[in-house]
Amino acid sequence: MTINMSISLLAFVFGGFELLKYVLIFFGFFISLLLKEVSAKNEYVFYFNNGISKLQLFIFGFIMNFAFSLVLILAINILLKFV
Amino acid sequence: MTKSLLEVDSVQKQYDGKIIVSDVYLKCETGDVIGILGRNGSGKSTLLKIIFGIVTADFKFVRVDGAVKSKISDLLNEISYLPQENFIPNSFSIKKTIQLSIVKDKLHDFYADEMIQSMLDKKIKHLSGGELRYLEIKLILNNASKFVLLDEPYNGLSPIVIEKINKLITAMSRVKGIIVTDHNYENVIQVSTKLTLMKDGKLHHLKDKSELIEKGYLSSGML
Repeated sequence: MTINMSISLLAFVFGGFELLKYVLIFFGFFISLLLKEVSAKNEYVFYFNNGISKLQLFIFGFIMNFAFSLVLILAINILLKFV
Repeated sequence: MTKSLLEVDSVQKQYDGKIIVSDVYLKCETGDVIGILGRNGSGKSTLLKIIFGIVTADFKFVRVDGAVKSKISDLLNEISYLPQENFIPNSFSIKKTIQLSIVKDKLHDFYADEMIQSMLDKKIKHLSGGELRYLEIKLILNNASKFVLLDEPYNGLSPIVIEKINKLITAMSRVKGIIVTDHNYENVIQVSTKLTLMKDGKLHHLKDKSELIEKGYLSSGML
């Protein structure tokens, strides 16, 4: 989430709110996955040992990120109306 | 108690034309502690990764209680695996890690361990290498899986902790099948009920530990 937020912040600074929406939901999430794959691949074993597959992790992560992104986008939308 | 059976058959793995693992057959039942010894690069770790499913093999058969398991998702609830490297996410707290891995009924016994109690309020990233390894091994041996693969469990542990680990392995082998590989051959020999030697990608089943000398793994006088 930290990685996604950092990338999304950059997207907001350089591309505005419209770009932030897509980066937060898709691009940032996939970059986070990619970084996890490279730098912390061993951590998957923890989930495997607890009976959770990579696909289940991916789906759960995407849903959580999507829900969080929607709330954040909604909050920013409301904030922008008042600014 | 019902016994479970893990069978690994016809495992073959080549990399860049070099045979890493060839024609391995391994049978592990509840109650077995199978020790795999072998020199560096002999294919021990690769074999465990192939069994668990995180490394693909050119050919393999893994059966649990007679049923063929071809994907990692088929094996998730049957086999646990301790890799050489630490695997618990650093940001987790110890309590959260234990609660995620251990069933509620077993939590009380799990917390009764002095060494576990001393680390309960910490985060994974604050543990020493030895503490973390002990926690990982204890979690893996106490989870719900039927079989456990331990890759270098003794690495970086002090003699007293190694003794605790050996007692734990022996105790848990009553309800699980355990496969252990490590360069600390004395402890592997001590804890194992069956010994094997990985040499040139092939797994040799040993009748006696003296064969470790005959097959060139140990020098005479090392046993």
